[in-house]
Amino acid sequence: MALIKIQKMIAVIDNSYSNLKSITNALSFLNISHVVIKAGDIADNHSHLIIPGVGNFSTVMNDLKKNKEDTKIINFFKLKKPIMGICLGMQILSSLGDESGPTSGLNLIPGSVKKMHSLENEYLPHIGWNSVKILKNHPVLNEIKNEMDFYFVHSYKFNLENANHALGETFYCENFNSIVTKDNVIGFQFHPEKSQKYGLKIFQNFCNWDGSC
Amino acid sequence: MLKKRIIPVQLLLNNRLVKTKIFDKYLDVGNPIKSSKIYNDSDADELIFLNIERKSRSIKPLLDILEEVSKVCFMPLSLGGGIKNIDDLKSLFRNGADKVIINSSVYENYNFIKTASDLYGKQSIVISIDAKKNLENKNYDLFSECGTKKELISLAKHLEYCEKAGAGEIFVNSIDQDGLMQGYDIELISKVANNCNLPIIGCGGAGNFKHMKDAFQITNVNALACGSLFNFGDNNPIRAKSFLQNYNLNFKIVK
Repeated sequence: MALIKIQKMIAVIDNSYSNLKSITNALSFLNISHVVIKAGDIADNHSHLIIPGVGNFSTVMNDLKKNKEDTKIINFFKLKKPIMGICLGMQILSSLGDESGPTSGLNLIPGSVKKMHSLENEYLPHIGWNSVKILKNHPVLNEIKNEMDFYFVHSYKFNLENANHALGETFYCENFNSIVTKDNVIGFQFHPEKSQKYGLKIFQNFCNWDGSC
Repeated sequence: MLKKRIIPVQLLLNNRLVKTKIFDKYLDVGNPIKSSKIYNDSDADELIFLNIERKSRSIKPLLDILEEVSKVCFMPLSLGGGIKNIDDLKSLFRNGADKVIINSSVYENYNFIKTASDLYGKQSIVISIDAKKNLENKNYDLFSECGTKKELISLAKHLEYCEKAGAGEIFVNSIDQDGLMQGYDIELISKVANNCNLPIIGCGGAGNFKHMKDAFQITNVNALACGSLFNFGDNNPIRAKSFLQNYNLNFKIVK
């Protein structure tokens, strides 16, 4: 009997606010097949989903809801296919956002998104290279060493309802969750596409992940 | 902990990488795409590209370089020189820029910063300030248009307006020290740091790693940028960091 090889096709969601080019450049650099699509065009042949994000929680969520694109992402999740959220794309995986008024998120990982506390002499956004303490093993973090630096740009943080969903932690004014996961979903507060060697490794690991832990 | 940054600055003229002295004479120092690849491999924290073509100010040279560099450099890319309006910003961000660097257009219209910052977030808006010490009154004069036009506003006022309008970061360049490799203008960097509450990138004058150590230790600058130091001689960000780490300065670790 002939083996059926399942082709990988990574779908990168275009939410019109993001710097998609750096993500697609990273995937091209790694020779990974990918397409840029609107969430409404998610199809059966897409094996993995990347939700990038720059912008505002409520703007992005309201856009997704308006066109019922949020249910397309939720259905993709129900198929147990791997989903990766980056920065705001990670934050909208939560149940509730706080930016420009309370807005419900995709609710794939229970928790809420709140503004970070900044101290005197520390400014928001938190921007620059900061280290990530890895709390648990995960297939997507294969060969990623503990306490490496990644590139961050954000003012909001993801508060988890269940601490078991935390994979990585970072300190800026306070400890916050920099990597979160639940089932076939993983989210990064930092930008792997801007984080040189280990950032590229994360994309490679994600594209080799089957969504199980 | 947030790390200090070291940022190679690359000046672009006629699609070549050049290095100026006191904003005037310049030398051709190579191909900007090749040098960017090398900086990516030598752990630079960010790259800055400045278009210094004085004859026709447009962002075309920036878009050309961005197209190639964004395919091989996976770190933050900041570009400036010739940015006039929101459409320019739009094309730069769409083509892979993470931050834009604005200088001359700000003096005429501080509202430009506000519009840009509201649209793209303040983290992506860097204001560049070219300053030269006035030997008579001991203050700093500010210049726009690649150092050719003197502005009348004071440094402190300019910083106040920029911060209020939504600037995310200040890139301060000393015209006096540019390309001389005799050390940063510590007084200028301190002045900027004391007059605003934004991350600061200091530039102009680095000739060796000790110059960087002095600037990092004496001022609370967040990042130092340099051209000549890396353009001439066998120096790179890895070597700079291994020297600076001996002085309790923390940089990113990626290996």
